[in-house]
This record gives sequence, structure tokens and C-alpha cells, in this order.
Amino acid sequence: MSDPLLAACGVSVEFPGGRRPADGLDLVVHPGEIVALAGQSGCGKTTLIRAMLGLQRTVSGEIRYEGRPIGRGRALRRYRRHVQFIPQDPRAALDPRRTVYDAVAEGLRAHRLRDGEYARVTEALDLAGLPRRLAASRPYELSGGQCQRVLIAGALVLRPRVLLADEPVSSLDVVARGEILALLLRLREELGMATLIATHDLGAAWQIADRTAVLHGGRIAEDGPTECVLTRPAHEQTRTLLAAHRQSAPVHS
Amino acid sequence: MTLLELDGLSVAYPAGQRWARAVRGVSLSVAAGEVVGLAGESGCGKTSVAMSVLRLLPRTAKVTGRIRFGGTDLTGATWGELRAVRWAQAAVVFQGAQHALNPMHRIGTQIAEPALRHGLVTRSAAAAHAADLLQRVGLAPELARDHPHQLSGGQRQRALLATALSCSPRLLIADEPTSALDSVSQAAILGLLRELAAERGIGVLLVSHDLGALAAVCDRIAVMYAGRIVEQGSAEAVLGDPAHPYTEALTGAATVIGDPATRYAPRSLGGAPPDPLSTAPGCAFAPRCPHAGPDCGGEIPLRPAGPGRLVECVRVAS
Repeated sequence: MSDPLLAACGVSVEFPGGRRPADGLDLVVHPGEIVALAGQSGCGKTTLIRAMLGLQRTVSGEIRYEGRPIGRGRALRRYRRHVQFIPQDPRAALDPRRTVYDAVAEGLRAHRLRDGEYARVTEALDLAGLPRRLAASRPYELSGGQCQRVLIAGALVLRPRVLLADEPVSSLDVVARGEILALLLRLREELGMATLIATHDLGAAWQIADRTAVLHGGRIAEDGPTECVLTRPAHEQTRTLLAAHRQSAPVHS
Repeated sequence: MTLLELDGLSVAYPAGQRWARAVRGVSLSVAAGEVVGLAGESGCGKTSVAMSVLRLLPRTAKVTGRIRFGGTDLTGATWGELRAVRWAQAAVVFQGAQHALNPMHRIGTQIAEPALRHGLVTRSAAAAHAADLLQRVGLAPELARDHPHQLSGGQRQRALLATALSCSPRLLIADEPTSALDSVSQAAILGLLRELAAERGIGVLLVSHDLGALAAVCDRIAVMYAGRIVEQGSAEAVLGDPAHPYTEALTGAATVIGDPATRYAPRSLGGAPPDPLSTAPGCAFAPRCPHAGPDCGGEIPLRPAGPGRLVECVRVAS
């Protein structure tokens, strides 16, 4: 397999009081790979994603992009054009007063990319599957699924190589959930986009992830091809999550 | 015994010169000890149905039809009469435990408040009452002294449930109580609701977009689409053998881990729900329906399809 695009190498994070939501974590994402980071809430998924974005100080270990530490200052700023974040609750993440166009253009403006803003924004809207006529709408006029597409368009506008998505479908209904997962698969096909998707929903991992890493107590409990991890779980935590998933799955005749 | 009975309930919100018809003639009942699920996509009107029971809708909302609770007609009830029913007879567990608790007050104070206000416990007995309720929802009584930010999402949702139980209501209306929780905490909360219905005879109206959650605890399920209940019946029948194409699409969207057919194949419906301002006749689901035909544009009757089962689709033989 190719060299990792993004890697967490022995990353530890310590909170005041000594709790370690990440305790020597190793995780890699290869180009064009979809990786699920699975675990219960409180297991450290969000902390790891924050660390990978350079938003969380680590006490040991490092985050590497294309083999090099992500660094600080200008280097970190450059890195953030390649790696984009998609948050959990799309409605809370969008400014209610701003239009879809402004929300999508925000990344370009923050990185002072002034050329061809309109063309880039409309291209991002197309990629995210949002009709261009919604560009002038505000978040309250959109459904939850459409809001999530706006955030994805806002990430795509910078032409990143990796998306880090923190529970991108957990606040959506089943129909919107299927659409967003299908969109993430399509972005991989069309753009070769790599995605790390943090989720407590093993169903989502089964539907789109090539590889699944199960996080427990700040450590990787299990990491392997999704087919292996989810059908032949080796770790107790994976079995617990699978049991919870089965219990919540509708009866089928 | 029927606790709650909705008959031809409609809710409309003003939208400029017109009305957005969020709920269009819903009939549904909840009996004591029964858990009834109300399912559907976001925007289908399920929260409007749930909130209409205790008139927790915006003042501008126009509600028609009948709402009966414990034999009393709440449709024409005065605010005073409604106040007596709220909390004491029927309580709501709101969506988003993150925001429904007051961040400034201790958990115990918030749990005991409804009982204090309704004069069911004295000030000196309030702490014991809160401790008792915390235990009933599976939390340590010591958490009474904590503030909401010190609790996890699952703990906060349990605390919110304890608050709703403060006055020992006969009916619980839970609006998406588990959608913000991970699957393990989710299963625990749902188990708790099931227990309250079975052991205390509380009727539960459980609103959720998550069919999996509903399947785990509901006796009966009603599926809503564009303001109408398109199918209702026993949970096994509705989920195991869906009769309405919309229910079929919703159940098909559930993932079975290990099933090669669902690997790399997230299911979606395509299209979007109709505009709530639309007054077009016929089946609202037809534009997205794989089975739609020329008959779908006319009046669609609600047809019985087996014991206790009603389906609104021309494909169901009458």
C-alpha cells in the first residue's frame, strides 16, 4: 500500500486533572482511503480529530502529513488547506444569519484565495450535490441534510485531500444519513478524497469504511479491514458496540 | 385504557399570506402501559403532533381536530386547566438534553422543581425526592449536587427523564430522547422507557427518526410523511412487513452489518419531501415512490390492512 497521507504517531493528550483522552494513539489514513474511527461517546474520538487538525496540544507523539510533522504557524496554516473538518451538528455549526454562498466561501476568504471565488463556490456546491439556487438561502430554510451538504461544500471549496468528519450523520434522519454517506463515497470515487469518519454508528462504518479502528479508553482497541473487524471482532469493546447496534436494528423478516 | 386520543388533528403555521400545513389530519391513540412510536423524516410534522398535546406550540400555530387526555377534551382547555395536566398528568422529555437543562442550577434542584411547584412534595422532602428519582433512572443520587456540564450526554438525558417523572405522570411524551447519544447509552435510555411502561403503566409517545430505536421498545408504530400518518400498526408488522412504500424505504435504509448487499451501498430515497405550502391532492409520497401510478393523484383512503393496522396507499387492497 502507498505511504500514509495522514498519521497520528503515539499521540497522547492530557486534560487538567490527569485524564488522558488519547494515550499513545496510532492511526493512519492512506490517500483515497475511508477510515472509520468507532467508539462510544467519551472514548476520545473528538480529541484525536482535534489533535489531527492541530487544534489540541499533545503531550507526546506527533501528527504527520505526507510523512512530515504538521508543525506550527505558517506550516500549520498551509496544512489546513489540505485537511478539512466536518462537524457533528450542521445546524449549530452554521451561522444562522449568513447565506449558503458566504458559508461556503468562508474558507477561501480565511486563506485569502480571492481569485475566481464564484466559480470555486459553485463548483463546491455542485460537488456536494446542492442546487445552485440555494446559494442565497439561509440555514433555517434548509433541511438537516442540506445543512450538512453546505458544510461539506465549505470543506471542498479548498480542494482538500482529507476530510475529518466528526459524527457527520448522527444528527440526521435515516434518509438524509444515507444521502450523506453516499456523498462521501462519491467524493472518494470522483476526487480520490480520503476521509476519516468518527462515528458511534457501526452501520455507517459498514456502509462506507475500508478500514475500521475501534477506540476505547484513549487507545486503539482494534484496527483492521472493516469486514474483519465487524464480522470477526477480536476486542471486547467491538463486541459491545456490535451488540448495541444489533439491539437498535429494526426487526427484519 | 386509552390515555391519549388524537382525532383528526391538524396543525398549521402562518407563512406570509398562506398556511404551512405541518400536520394534516392525524388520528392516533396511546393506552396506559403502551409505548407508541411516531416515526418519520425531519420536517414530517412529528414534533408538531407531540407538542400539540400540551399546547407547547408557538402561539401563531393553528390547531384543529380533537385532543382527548384521560377522557378530558384538551382542545378547548383553558391555560389553567392545561397547567394542571402539564407535568402532573403528562410530561415531556425534550429533544437535546444538552440544552434542556438549566446550566446554572444543580441537577437535584431541577429534578425536584416540578413536584415542588405542583405541591406534591415539601421543600424539606425535595432532596430525598430528587435522590429517589435519580436512582429510578439509574443514576447515583450524589449527582444531585452536580451542575449539567459535569454530566455526560447520557447522564443528562437520564436526568431529564427524572425531571419528567418528578410528578409521577401517566403519560410521557419523549421527543427524540436518544438521537444525540451513542448506541450504548441509547439502548439504556430505551430500556428505561420500556420498564416505565411495563412496571408503572405509564403510556409513552416516543417520537424519533430512528426506526431502530423505535423497534427496540415500541408496541405500536405510526409512520408519518408530510403531515399524514401513512401507516400504523404493531411494531412487528410495520417494520417486519411494511405495507406503505415509504415505510419500506425507511426500513430498507437500516444497515445489517455483515450483509454484503449493504456494504459500500448506503441507501437513500432520492428527491425531497413536498413543500408544506402545497395543497396538491393525492399521495404526497408519489413523486418519490418507486411504485407510483396514475391512481396516486386522487383521494387516498386510509385502509385497514390486518388487525390494528391502517395504511394510506392505493396499492393496499381494500
